[in-house]
Amino acid sequence: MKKLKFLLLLMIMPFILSGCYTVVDMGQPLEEELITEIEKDYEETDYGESYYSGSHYGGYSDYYVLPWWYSITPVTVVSGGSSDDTPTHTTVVRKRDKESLNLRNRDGGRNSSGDGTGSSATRSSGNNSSGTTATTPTPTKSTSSNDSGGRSSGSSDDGKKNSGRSGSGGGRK
Amino acid sequence: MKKLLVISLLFAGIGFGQTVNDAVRLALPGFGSGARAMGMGNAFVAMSDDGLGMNYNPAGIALVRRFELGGGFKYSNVQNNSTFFGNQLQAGNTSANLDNFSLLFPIPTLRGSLVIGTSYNAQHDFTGKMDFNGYNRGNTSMIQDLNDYSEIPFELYLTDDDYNTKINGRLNQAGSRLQSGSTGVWNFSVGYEAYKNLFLGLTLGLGNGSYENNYDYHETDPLGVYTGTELAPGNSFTNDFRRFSYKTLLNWDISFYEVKLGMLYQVKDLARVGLTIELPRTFTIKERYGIEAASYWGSGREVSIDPEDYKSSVEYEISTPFKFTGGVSFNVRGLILSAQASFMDYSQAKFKDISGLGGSFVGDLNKDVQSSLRAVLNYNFGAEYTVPFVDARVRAGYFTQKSPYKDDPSDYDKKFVTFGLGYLLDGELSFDVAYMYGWWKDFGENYGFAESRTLQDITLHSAVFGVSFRF
Repeated sequence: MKKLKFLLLLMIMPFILSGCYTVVDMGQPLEEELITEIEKDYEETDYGESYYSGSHYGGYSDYYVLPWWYSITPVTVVSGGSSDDTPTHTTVVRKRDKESLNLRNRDGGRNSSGDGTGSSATRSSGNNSSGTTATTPTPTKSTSSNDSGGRSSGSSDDGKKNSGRSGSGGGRK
Repeated sequence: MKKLLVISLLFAGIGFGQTVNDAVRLALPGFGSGARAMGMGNAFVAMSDDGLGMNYNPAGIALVRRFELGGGFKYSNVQNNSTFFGNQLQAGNTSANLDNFSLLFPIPTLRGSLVIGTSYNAQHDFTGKMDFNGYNRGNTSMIQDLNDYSEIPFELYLTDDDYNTKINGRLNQAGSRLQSGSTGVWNFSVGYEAYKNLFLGLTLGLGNGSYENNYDYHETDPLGVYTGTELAPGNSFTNDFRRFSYKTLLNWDISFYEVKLGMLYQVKDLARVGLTIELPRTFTIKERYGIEAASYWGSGREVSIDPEDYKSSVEYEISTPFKFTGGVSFNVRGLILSAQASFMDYSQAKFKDISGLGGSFVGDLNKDVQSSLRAVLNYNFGAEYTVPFVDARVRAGYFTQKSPYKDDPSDYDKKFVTFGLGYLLDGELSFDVAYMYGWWKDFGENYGFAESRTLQDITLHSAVFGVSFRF
């Protein structure tokens, strides 16, 4: 009986907890106020502040930081011309592309005209069940870069700062 | 009258052999679980950002953003160097167990974090072995001690008809104590971000395990002190005492539950602060206890007790005290330094009768616990450095577990140094190994107080190998 109570409590816990700071993504319509709050918070969040971000942690950065429901889109190709002296950078951008991932478009039917410009889901799996579409651009990669492009390990401290807050708009999908 | 007294003491001394040590055995923290945590000296309360967090600080699992499946095995080797009346003997025992298994499921969020998971974590490892052998020149013996509260010496013709024995020490005493068993707990955890960078967590644990204590003790008369002395007058074969043998076997089936609350606050990418409260754990123990004893005589005669007369089966609970842990970790360019302190008041451990012990016995036992144990503050320190270009990590740690017994000197505190390595393959598969070396002193009494004492130097070598996969 005790075991049953434990399991029951655990099962309902996510529903009790959701709605405090954490907002679970269940494809639910959101109130205007909450949407504003989330977006504001998102803008203020510096993903570079993750404990394991930056060049010091190599591949461990993604291991700890990257949510499974995000895809990785390496962007920012800086070939540096033909000079070998110029360092090359491959930055992985985790920031949500506001153009295609506007939270305001989640409010259960608004902007549901079908133009597809603002109705993407935050999941990378492209689940269309909620009437949304996910777009994952083809990963781009520097032709002169040796980086695999799958990690957020910027090769400089600048990379650390950019790892989560690039304004390039390449898009975390 | 004495027989009545002996019979009543028989129940008190044989049937109900529970001691403060039983509470200590379960109240002591384990040696940790998980290669990464162990490599960092189990200073993991302000880390806990993986499946091991369910065991250390459930708030930490809210930092996990990908599914995680992990597991690990542990191998331990305990060595006991005992000194007994000037003689030193070395003995050891090994164990191999599943150390941990974990599964984490981060729930997609629009803001914050919510992670649920389940894990199995090894808790206690009771493995141990001690041998002892020495000549006790004093005027005490196990035979005399048993004669104070049991009929065993009488049944073995070591006393006269009035329960008086002519044995008066000066015997060689030898034996061994073999301990085995372990406990583990299945955790069900949830961690979430309650406010920006403030994480809370809860773990509910259901545990079980076993413990076996096999004690083998002999007294012999190598100098022939009692040769020619008829120990049981009227029985001529008792004038040539050779050996007294006494064996006990204690078996526990253990089940328990626990609740752990955790908090973790992350200060940008610089530091983390973690706090946990472990509510008192209640262990339910189904105990089986049995005794075998025999006397051996020069004529070749052997006399034994009937083991069926000395079997008992009882059930009781031991609840362990609250445990409060606070820790902090700092992040400096790939180097993480972590430290924590845990407070626990062992004197608050309690026995509770379920069937067979009796209220007054349990009351006395709890008084003993209260008067002989103390509150302690344990420390853990750990470091982890990530070598970024090869995705490898090196770790080191140190921690202490202070003796719960009042007035024990610091030599009796358990001390550990740990080392560890980690390697990340393809950004998803993490391999971790850890080695732990521990050392401390202990002593044990065969009977009485400081009359037949084994002084022990104990060392522990333990290795854990773990793999975790994030996807």
